[in-house]
Amino acid sequence: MFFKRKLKSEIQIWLKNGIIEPENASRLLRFYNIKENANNFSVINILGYFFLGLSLLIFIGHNWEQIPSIVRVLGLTGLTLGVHIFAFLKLKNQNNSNLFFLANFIYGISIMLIAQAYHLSGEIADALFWWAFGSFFVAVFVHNIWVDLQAFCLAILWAYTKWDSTVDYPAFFWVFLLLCGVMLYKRQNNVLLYLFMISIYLFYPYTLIHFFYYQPYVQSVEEANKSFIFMLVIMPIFGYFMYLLSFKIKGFYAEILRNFSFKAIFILNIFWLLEDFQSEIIELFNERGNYNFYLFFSFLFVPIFALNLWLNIKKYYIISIILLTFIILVVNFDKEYIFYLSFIINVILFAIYAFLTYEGITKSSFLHYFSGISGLLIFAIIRYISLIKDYLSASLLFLICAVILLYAAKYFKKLQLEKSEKL
Amino acid sequence: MKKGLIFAIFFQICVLFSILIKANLPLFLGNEIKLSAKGVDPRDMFLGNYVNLEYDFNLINTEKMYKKNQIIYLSLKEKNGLYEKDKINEIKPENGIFLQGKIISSKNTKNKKIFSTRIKFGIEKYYTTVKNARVLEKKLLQHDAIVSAKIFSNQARIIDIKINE
Repeated sequence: MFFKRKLKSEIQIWLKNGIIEPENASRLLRFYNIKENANNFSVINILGYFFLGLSLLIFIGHNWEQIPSIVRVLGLTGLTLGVHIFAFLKLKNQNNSNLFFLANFIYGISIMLIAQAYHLSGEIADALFWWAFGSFFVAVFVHNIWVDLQAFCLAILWAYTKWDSTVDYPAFFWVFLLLCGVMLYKRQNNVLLYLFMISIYLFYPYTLIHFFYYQPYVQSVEEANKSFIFMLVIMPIFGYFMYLLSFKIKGFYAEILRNFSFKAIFILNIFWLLEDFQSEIIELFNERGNYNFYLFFSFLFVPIFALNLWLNIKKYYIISIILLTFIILVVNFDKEYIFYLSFIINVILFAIYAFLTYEGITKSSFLHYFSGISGLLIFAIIRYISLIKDYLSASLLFLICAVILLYAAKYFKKLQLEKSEKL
Repeated sequence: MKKGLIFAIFFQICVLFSILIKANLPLFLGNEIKLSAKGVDPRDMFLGNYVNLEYDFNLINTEKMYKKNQIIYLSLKEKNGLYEKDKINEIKPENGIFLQGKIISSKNTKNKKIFSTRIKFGIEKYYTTVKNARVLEKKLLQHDAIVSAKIFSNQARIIDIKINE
């Protein structure tokens, strides 16, 4: 979205300075799916509705207990219906559906008012559920990106509240995700796509942990920390699955999904550089010797290998096999030999970052280049601050890294020279 | 699409009415009981200020450990005009006055055969104005509250709160 804004303003500058002709500008805008004359003021409109809704919510919070409950509730229900009817007429006459955002907001406030008026101290998650569900229902038919976003944000808020207040598994969130997927299929909404991806990235690993790792009612702070660490193991693997999936998605979303997954894998892998994280992981697998981790990881690797078969690209077969081997190694590793594992992980990550830098240079990919260079620098900082075992081992690791980099630089230069000679 | 949208709007209104009916049922059809409670005054992000009511049956000792979120039924008995806890049932009793509750936590005590169990019954919040909430909070520091509630089909609704001065 920011790229498009920047591109649009750049194109205007090029036009002004005569670098490109108006026809080229139009073609460029069309190519990047940017609307030519659309100054999108609907965001201000929606923010106005948002503040109006907040104002009403605070107003209701004052608790007008001198007015009978039934009068207050019926008044607000009437207002919900009224705004919906008005929004419906506006949609019909002016083809503008932003008012449904406000109508959904008032609908939620009505639910809250009933809880307040009748002193219902049940779970707030239940109220949020009906708010989200009702909003989704409207969003599916309205085809408005703001209403879609509102409904999905409410669904996320509900799932979080349900998990936070009751430690219950919000199973219905899968339905919300499915509905969100349908919305994304029908109309392009980049912000919604990012929210959708973040939700899946968190929810699928959480689902695996919830059903295969801990029982909510015996959960302690220690167990919760372990679950969090476990999630950090699962998320990059799941990210890899999403990355592969992006090759099978057609259209504009594929690029976003690929970039997002790439960044997610890159950021999440940095945790593996931390010694505490490594030892926590090994301890976790060691402690649960009888636990069937293979069944657990099969929920990640079966889809990965299925996608591999579908894609049939040699490079990804190799990466998937390395990843699976690595996980099997980690699951079975004895914590007494953690130093060796730590060393292997460091070398693997270093090689990945070096390879990314190479890819960035040869393919002129800024994302690869930036990730590679920053990965190498983060690697150096972390390993310098927290030595690996002792001074000598850390020094040896840095020496190996330096040799790899210097040799690679020399090799790549040679390759480039050979190529230019051939030309 | 338009028919679907009309149906979605209708659905929202139905949700509001069904919540409203569910909230009102105990008030119209329920039996009135009085309960003793203590309280403090916090603010809910969505619903405004309320007095948090703590009943003597919110935290009880049980002989078994319950699962979090398990539904239980607490039978009540009358004593000097007030209702107090009688016994916990895992199955809905066929008669008598009882409340439906949800287990929040169930932990070991020093006596390993007794578990300290916290239960929520859905009548722990009394929403009121900021001013009233503060007045109530001050009074509740020194006195107990007498909560009038109506119970219908194991659902309870608060109808009034008075300070037992």
